[in-house]
Amino acid sequence: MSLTVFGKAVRSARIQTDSTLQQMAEALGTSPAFLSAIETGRKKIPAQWVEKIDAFFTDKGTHVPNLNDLATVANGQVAIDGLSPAQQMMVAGFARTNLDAEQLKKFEVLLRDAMKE
Amino acid sequence: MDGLQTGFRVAPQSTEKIRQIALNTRQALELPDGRLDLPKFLERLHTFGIVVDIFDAESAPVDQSIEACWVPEQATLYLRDHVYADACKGGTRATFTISHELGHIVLAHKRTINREHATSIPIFQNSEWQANTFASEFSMPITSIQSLGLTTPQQVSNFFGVSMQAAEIRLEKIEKSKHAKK
Repeated sequence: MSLTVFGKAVRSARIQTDSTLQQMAEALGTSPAFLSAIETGRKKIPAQWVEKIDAFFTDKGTHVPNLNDLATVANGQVAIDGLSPAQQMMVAGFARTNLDAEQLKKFEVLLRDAMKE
Repeated sequence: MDGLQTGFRVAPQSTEKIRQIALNTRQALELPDGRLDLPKFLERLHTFGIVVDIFDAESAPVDQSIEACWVPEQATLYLRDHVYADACKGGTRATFTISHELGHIVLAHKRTINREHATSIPIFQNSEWQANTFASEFSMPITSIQSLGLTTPQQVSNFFGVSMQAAEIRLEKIEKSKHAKK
């Protein structure tokens, strides 16, 4: 299996913090096989595991940027439960647009500007 | 140790050539003398673009009877969870297994579909003979054995964290090659 974007970030962080899969599994109370599976995409990454892994590296003095977003991309799905109805409609609508990358970028800028306080 | 009968035909390599490749590999991986720190070593393979995937029976991506295998198309080294656990304890069997698989990696062995009987393949072209030879040269570098003057299986086993059997075979082969050259 190839690594997902999430897996790549986690493995780089392990090297950076001089820790191993075994140590991480022990610290988080799971098996090396489980961690390996979520890093290679054989298993989806449960939301609480992103937090646990984030905390593991924070404890070692490293911050892995955008870990949540990387997990979302790796999982290939966005959870919309918990979002407001308006946000849910927006996500659902966006999922079906055929905007190209440039148009999406412009739209993102527009939304960001519009939301400025 | 994988038996020669499971081997497939690959480009020929001599013991001398494999020895050099093993020494080069240790240097390229910046490994210190002595026993391998397997968990750290496996972790560092990521920086060389090699994916190490530990699996259990429940979520096996390959046949679950497999203990270790290298899949070149995926640049992935699959290791069964109990092999990894043994590696974390510095197990002699895991040391050999992982060194053997690293042999397939650096010797660029590719699996080909063929029906050839391994027994008809000359050993220098047998993938398993090559990987076993690499494992021996990699886990017990000749340079260290000579510079430290290790002469007994016990000394070799202690210094490199390999089994007594692997150490005995290693010393026997070194002894034989000395006589062959005379």
